[in-house]
Order: sequence, then structure tokens, then C-alpha cells
Amino acid sequence: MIQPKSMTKIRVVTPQTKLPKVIETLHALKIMHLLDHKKTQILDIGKPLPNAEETAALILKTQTLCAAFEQNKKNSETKKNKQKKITDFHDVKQKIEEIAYAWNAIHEKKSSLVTLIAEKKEIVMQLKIIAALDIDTDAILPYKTLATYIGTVAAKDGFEKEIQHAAKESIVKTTTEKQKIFAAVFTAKKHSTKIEKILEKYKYKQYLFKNLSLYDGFSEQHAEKEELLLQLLEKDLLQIEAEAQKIKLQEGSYVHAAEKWLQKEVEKAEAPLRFGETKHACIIEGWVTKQEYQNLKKSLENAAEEKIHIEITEIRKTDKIPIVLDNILFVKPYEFFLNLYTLPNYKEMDPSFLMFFSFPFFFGLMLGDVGYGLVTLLLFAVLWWKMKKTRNLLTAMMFCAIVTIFFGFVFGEYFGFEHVSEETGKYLVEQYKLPLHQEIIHNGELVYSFPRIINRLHGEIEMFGNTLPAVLVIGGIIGFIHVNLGLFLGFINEIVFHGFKHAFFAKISWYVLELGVAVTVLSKINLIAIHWLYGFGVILFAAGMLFIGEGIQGIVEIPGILTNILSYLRLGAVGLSSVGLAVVINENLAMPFLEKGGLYIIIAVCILIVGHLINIALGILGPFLHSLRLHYVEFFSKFYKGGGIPFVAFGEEKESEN
Amino acid sequence: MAAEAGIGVGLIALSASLAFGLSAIASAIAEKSIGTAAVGALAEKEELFGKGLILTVIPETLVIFGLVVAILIMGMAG
Repeated sequence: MIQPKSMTKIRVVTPQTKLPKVIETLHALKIMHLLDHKKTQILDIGKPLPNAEETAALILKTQTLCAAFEQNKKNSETKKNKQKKITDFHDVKQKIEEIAYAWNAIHEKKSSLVTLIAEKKEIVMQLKIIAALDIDTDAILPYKTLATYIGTVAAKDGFEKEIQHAAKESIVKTTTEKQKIFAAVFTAKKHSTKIEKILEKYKYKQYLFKNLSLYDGFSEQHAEKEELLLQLLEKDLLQIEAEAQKIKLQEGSYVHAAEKWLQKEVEKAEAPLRFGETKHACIIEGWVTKQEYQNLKKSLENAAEEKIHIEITEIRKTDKIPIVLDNILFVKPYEFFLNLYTLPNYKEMDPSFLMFFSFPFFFGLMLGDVGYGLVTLLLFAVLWWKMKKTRNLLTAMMFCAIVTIFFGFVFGEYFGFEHVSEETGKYLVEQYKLPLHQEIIHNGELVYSFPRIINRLHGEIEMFGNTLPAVLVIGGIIGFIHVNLGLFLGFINEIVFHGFKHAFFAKISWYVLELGVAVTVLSKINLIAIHWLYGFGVILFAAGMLFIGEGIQGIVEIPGILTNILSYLRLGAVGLSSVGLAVVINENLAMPFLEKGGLYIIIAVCILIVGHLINIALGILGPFLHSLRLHYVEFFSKFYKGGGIPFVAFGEEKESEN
Repeated sequence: MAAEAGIGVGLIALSASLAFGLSAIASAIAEKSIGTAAVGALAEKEELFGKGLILTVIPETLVIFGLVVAILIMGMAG
């Protein structure tokens, strides 16, 4: 529990003929962390299994289908449970090819229909324009002596007159279609330059007509006919789209499942690339936990019908040993915070169980409110139920919420209310026998306060002639304890890594330093009858020890320890700001409205709800980050080295695939 | 309290708020540049989240010191 699981480095030698079965077994067991073989002169890198290429090709096809079916992922996921398990490659191949064939056929039909429809639409529009201009489809063809201009112009007014004026025998026709002005001008070729000038003035743009020779005469009727046809085509398109949707719904889940399965197959088929290979044998190296070793050995021997050699190899100093953290049920969620930071290295202590105690403690101390605790507990419980992926974190946060409730009782805070008014208090005490006590608060008002051990907002402690908020002093004391605990753990770690002498100079020197500072300060304020120079001497001695233990870096870090301890004042400070905001919401924002009564009560309730929701949101974020930071920066820096690499079992699903 | 308090008390209150406010601004400025760099690093390598977070919140201690100083100054007002 205190250390990561013991690991065994193993080497498996197997004949090539048994390799597929061995890989299959390893993949199914999910207990071995494979080491990549590096090519040497004697031992080459293995070749992928024969089916690798085919599988990879199929996966490409499947992924294309997956991408096409993407929008339906949700629907298909609900059906997932009904799917049969995929076991055979040829079945998958056949089915995927069938699906791909059907899908492509539909897709092709759809795209050709779409082009056809677009074309027809344009023809209909052109026929309509021709009908509206009251000309024949022949008119758009070029003539020998006649210049034809059909297109859009910017304005109608005066256009016709100007043309007529320029060339009397011209024919001009205009119409408005789809908010554009279409004009057709027919004139003798000799007038064309004059006419073109006028056209330019009216911003004429030529309209390109398709070949409409099929629709000779009666353009309007042709247009109606084509429109009918268009409707039929659109119906066809709808039908095809429905068919496509049907395929998506029916096969979506299968395609996604197949893709997942094929990914695994590829992983297996390409596994030999990570092994060493001779002509007839294959060498697999990797890590397995000590307790799983026998299990692995037995399974592999069964799979290879005893034609396999498994040995435990020596762990070299340069080996990077993968880390499997080993914690009991309640501590496990706190491994999340180590994954976020860095995993411990193999020889190091796993601090998850320490975080199990201190993280919720810090969080609760900062938030400390019965109401907020209950709300956050409920919130995390609901999220826990809804979000399976983040359950670890949410379990950890639920502990935090419970500790928050506990500290809420200690501070006597309920949604920021520390006391109730005289009348309410009397009523509560007489009716429900609640253990409230009378108190006169700072503005001279008599109130009934909730039972508490410490008053967070107003509790004060006299210290060295200064009045300090009690919570800040508590924070400082906790900081002192926590940092010194860190130093002690560092001491143990140093013994393991560098021996007792180094550990003594590097870590015990800090205790000596603290002693020196204490003596100096206490004699300065006349609490002990020792001259302060003795204390200063101890500080110098400690500095010397530090120099031996950690070199010049240790000396530089001397003020750091004070900063570290003072940093824990945030335990009180964040709490103060949280309760301060809550009191402002209750007494300064909501109370004035409540006192007015009537409809104003609704406003007061809205203010209370919104205000406290904001404060809870801040109250989760702030204490979470601050608590985490106190661990990472102040606590871990005293002992934790980290840098361990995670244990990734061969065959384990990657997170993104979940 | 405010009505009968002299200018001395006012100055004390002002200096306390300055101690707190200025240190908050200082740590905000420090965190700004660290945070930007940390997010940049995160975009490259997501595993750095823990380290990025720590580096970002390091200057936060400044505000705590500001708060402590502010409280000590407030103590002078009695």
C-alpha cells in the first residue's frame, strides 16, 4: 500500500509457430507491460503476423464507414448491447464489404440524383424566363443579321425608350424574375455598337442559356412539365436518403464495434514488431507484477503446449520500472492526483494514502459549511452516477464534501448563516429544542447562534501583541505540521536513495533551522531567558549542515521554508473569503428585501439562490486548487521525486477507445 | 464606526486595503505570464497539466502574504 507493486522483469522465448497463440493469450490476459526490442546485430526486430496487412486495409475501409456514420453514433450506441460478439476475421471482412458496397451504391445514386435535380432546376428557371420575356427558345440561338442580347440589367425605367431611341426597329422585352430584371434586345447587327453602349450603361450582364432546343415553342408548358418531373426526382432523393439513414441505423453499431475489434487485431498482428526475432524463435521481454507472474507463466505454457521458455531476468539499475500503484478501495481515487502530477518512481513511497487524509481535510477546512457540503455532496453523487469516466475524481471529491459538512458543524455555518434573529431563535429553541445559544454580535444586536467550536468569521487569537483571526493561526499550525511531515518523509526517502549521512544533513538540518528560528524569536519577545544570539548560532549551524547536505541550493532555499509554512495560511484565508461572500449574500443583499416582505421575498429568494450557487462554484474551484497546490508545491517538494512511467498492459484498452 | 473614526483609522484601513490589493495585482501579473506559457506547453504535451498548474499557482502565495500584512495593519487600528 505504501509502495508501488513489486515488479518482475521476464523474458519469454517461443518458437515462431506458437507466436500467434502466445500473442493472443498475452492480449487477453492484460497483465504484461511489453518492452520494445531494439535491433541488434544478433537479434532483429520481428515481422508482423501475416494477416497484418489485410487487417490494416480493412480497418481503413471500416474507418471510412465510421466517419460516414458518425452522426448516428448515439443511436447506434444504444443498440450496442444487442450486437453479437465479433470473433472471426473473415466474417467481419465479408460483412464490412457488404455494407461498404451497399453504402457506396446508395451514395452514388444519391450524388447523381443531386446533379440531375440541380440541372433540371436551372432548366425550369430558364424556361420560365423565356416564357416571361415572351420569346421563343429559338431566339437565344445566334442569327446572321440580328444581334441578340439576353441578360440582366440594373434598371427598367427608361431602358426600353433609350434602346428604341437609338435603333427604332429594335425589339426590347423586359421582365422581373427572382428580383432580377431580365431583358431581351434584338437589333440589326449594324446598330450593335450603339446598343452595347446603352447596355453597358445599364450594367448589362449576359445570361448563359443551356441548350434548350428540346423545348421548342410553348416554354411555359415545357416549364410546367419539367417541374412535375423535378418533383418526382425530389421524391426519389428523399427515398434514397431514407434508405441511407436505414443503413446507418442498422449497421452503425456493427461498424463501430468492428472498428474497435479490428484495432485490437492490428495491435496483436503488429505486436511482433516489438519483439526480438531469430529464424525460428521469438523473444518477448517485459514487466509483470510479482503476484501475476505464476498466472502468466501457466497461461502461456498452456497456450504454447509447453513449447515455451519463460525466465525472470535481472533488474538493471538503468531499467525504468513501470509503476502499478497498490492502494485499498478508499485510497484508490486519490491515485488520480498522482497521475495528474507524476507517478512515484519504483523505490519511492506512494503518497496516495497521505492525500487520502489531508486532501479532504484541507478542502473541508476551507469550504466548511454544512449547506455547501450537502449541495456539493449531492452534486458529486449525481455526477458520479452520470459520468463513468471521471468516477475516481468524483469519489475523491465526495469524501471532500463529507469533510466539508463536518467542518460546517465545527464552525456552525449553514449556507453562510451563523445565527438567526432573536424571535426565530426563541421559536426554534422552544418548539424544536435546538441547541442554539444567545449572543450579542458586533453591531450590538442580540441573536441566537448555531452551536460551534470555532467562530470562523470573528474568532480571534491574541498572539505576540497582535490580534489574528483564529483560522489563520490554525492554518499556520497545520502548515507547520504538514511541512515537517514532508521533511520527515524526505528524510526516509533520502535514506533509501543516498544513505543515512546525506539524509541527516539534507533533511534533519531543516529541523535544526526551525529550532534556531524558534529560539531567536522567543528570546526576542522575552518568552525564554536565553540570549537571542544562541538561537542565531543554531541557525548558522543549520545553514552549515544544509550546505553539506544540499550544497548552495540548500542555503538559497532557507527563506523558502518560511514561505511554505506561511502558504498554509490560505487554509484560513480562502475559508474567510468564502464565508465572507456568503454573509454578504445573506445579510447585505437578501435581507433588505426579505424585511420589506410581500413580493420582495421572491426577489430575495432569487438573490439567495443565484448568490449561493456562485459561491458554491467558487467554493469548489478555490479549495480544490488550493488544496492540490498545497500538496504539490509545499508538501511534495519536501520528499517526492516522481518520474515513474505508467504500467501499460498489452491488450489494455486505451482511454480514447472507451 | 466610520462616523467617529479619525483620519488615522482611515489611513490604516486604506493601507490595509493597499497591502492586500497591490499584492493581488502583483500575483495576477505574475500568474498571467506563467499561465500563458503553461497553456502553451499543455497544447504540446497534455501530461504537463500537473506541473503547469503548480507553476501557475506559485505566485498566489503573494496574496496570502498581502492578506497577512493587511490583517496585521488592521490590528493597529484596534
